[in-house]
Amino acid sequence: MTLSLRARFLVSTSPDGLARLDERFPTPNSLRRASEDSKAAVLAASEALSRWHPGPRDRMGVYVGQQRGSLEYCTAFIDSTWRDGPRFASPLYFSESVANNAATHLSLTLGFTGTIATFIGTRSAGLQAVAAAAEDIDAGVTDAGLVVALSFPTPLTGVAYNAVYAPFRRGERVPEFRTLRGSMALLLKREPGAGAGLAFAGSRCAGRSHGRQVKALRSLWQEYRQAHPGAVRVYPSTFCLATGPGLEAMREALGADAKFLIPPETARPEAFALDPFLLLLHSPNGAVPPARAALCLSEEGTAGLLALEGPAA
Amino acid sequence: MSRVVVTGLAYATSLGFNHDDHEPALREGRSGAAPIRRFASAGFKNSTGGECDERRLDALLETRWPARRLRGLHVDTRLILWAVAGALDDARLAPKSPLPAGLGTTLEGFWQGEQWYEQHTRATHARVPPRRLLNVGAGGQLASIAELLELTFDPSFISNACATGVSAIGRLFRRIRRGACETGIAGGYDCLSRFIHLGFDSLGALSPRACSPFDKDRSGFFLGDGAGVLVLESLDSARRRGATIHGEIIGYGESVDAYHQTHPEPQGLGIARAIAQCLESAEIRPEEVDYINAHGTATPANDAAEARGIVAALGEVAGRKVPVSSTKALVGHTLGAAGAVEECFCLLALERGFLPPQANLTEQDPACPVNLVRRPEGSPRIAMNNSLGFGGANGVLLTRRWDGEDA
Repeated sequence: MTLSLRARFLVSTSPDGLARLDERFPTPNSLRRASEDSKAAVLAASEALSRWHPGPRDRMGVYVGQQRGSLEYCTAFIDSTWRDGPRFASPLYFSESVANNAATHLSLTLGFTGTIATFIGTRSAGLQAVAAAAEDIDAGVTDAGLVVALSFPTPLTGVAYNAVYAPFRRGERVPEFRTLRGSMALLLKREPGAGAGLAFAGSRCAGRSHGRQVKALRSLWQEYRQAHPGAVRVYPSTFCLATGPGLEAMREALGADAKFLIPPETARPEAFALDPFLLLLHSPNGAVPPARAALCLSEEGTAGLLALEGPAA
Repeated sequence: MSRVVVTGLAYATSLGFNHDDHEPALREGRSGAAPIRRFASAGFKNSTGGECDERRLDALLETRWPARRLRGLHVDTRLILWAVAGALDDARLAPKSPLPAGLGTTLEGFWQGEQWYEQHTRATHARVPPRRLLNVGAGGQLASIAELLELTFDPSFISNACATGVSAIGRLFRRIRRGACETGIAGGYDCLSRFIHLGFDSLGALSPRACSPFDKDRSGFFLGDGAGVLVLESLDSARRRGATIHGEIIGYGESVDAYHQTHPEPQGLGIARAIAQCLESAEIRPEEVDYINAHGTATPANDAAEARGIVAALGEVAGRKVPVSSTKALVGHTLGAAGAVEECFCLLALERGFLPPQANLTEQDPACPVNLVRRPEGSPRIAMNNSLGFGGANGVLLTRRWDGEDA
């Protein structure tokens, strides 16, 4: 029996997108002072779970994938220490800046006590969360997994990324750094004939150089193709400023299979750990996405692959 | 199901590097706490930390790589690089295929990130080259390690607050046990930084006095640097390679309190469920546990809840009898590294035959009804390692001394 995937999204590309969730959605009081990413995580999860029965709460795992924790509260905490002095730093800001904060709010609000795990540090963090959820179901630790992927960049994110990558563009104008804020809640469960199933979720890290990125991507692709040799169209997901080199590495790694890569829309906003899910599972107009796999390459050098099987959701 | 053994390990704290540095300190109850040197702490409520010996760390790394290849790697990346390389060397393992790597961290390269933020917003004189931001994230840190070691990893970067290290090891244990892979590395790392220190201070978790877990007058902990990495392997694989075995991991349990963002459930029900699940997965009875390395942060709420949880899970007799100590009294709270470093302490106790005494204990709190270790004696066969994290994440590992296959 395959693991079915059902996903719900909350996304916005406007600069203050999802910034006033309290007004747009009634949230529990416990979330009043929570960071925006935690609120969006709970809201997407609540909507998903209202449609799909989650099963017993003590057999439910909570998995969050987020490239960065709450930058909003992290910088607010640092700023509070400068403004008020080190003896008066804000404990509220600090506790909300902890990397597993969204997972905490999810388990507190929804009452899930099975297991909890947050994955961070790379674009493939959400894919690692899916892989962990699938492993726990396979191992009999949980009956179902709630996977939440988040993208909540701040203006500082753009400054940081431009600072890292601008020197390598040799005088070119710094492009606008367009980002997407949003969350996805995905329920992973053993369910016969329920639509899309999970075929593969995995990641590799071999280093940052072009050659080592190709090695990581190739290793991942070959593992997947050994089990799924048929034709499959693939969405590439790479950091927007590095689209060129990232795509080149993907084409090289896929070899003859590079024909399956769907040319990317270069104007797409950057959605970090949410991006592969948006590409593969988000169909705002009800259209069936043409690809059944998303291959991602993180700017930091980690490759990830998410692939589906069975009918499209 | 495969049996899972530890065939390599490397760990570092403010007390030094690996078993030989830590054994005397743990036996004597010698603490690594000292005034913080890494950043200015004037005006702070507390200014004690447990920093690793960075000069010695660099010297160890430079026996393997020229200094120019390590340029740009800050202490957090250097620590986990040393631990990954050291564990693989200890296991005499040179993997050809992608190596599963479950690495836990709560801070990643935050020290670089906070310096860059200060430079960006306050135009300070500190100059952090932008390229160093690549190592602020765990993915970038492992990419640097992959390049230096010329390895490909199958990574997962887990961040489960203070239960991070145990979660990383426990997840890999489960994968190997059910045959999903044969070998992998797992562990955790984190380094003391200014705003993390201030953050825990703002919560009232840092103590101005010595860290004294389970004491009536306990008042919190100090933060410390730490990194610990284990090579886990199926027994079949270890046997084929003729690997030296440090110990056998026999069980893992985990649970979520779903109670409060920063406080544990006061009756210890969450940690009790994780302990019970761990005993069940190890198929052992409570009275077979010879030692518990407690999470023991020395905060009033944590220690009382954990002690109640131990008694609730093991029963009134075994729960009050099993020797317990918290080594955070000596190395401080190493956050994402804590569970991994404390697992190495369990292996140290099992391999070298002693129980780490509870340091800094003056008068035991009656609200913590456990049997605290008073002297470095004993010859434990099975050790339990508890971790309790923010958000109510609990993780427990059980490890058995390696006395040969049929023992």
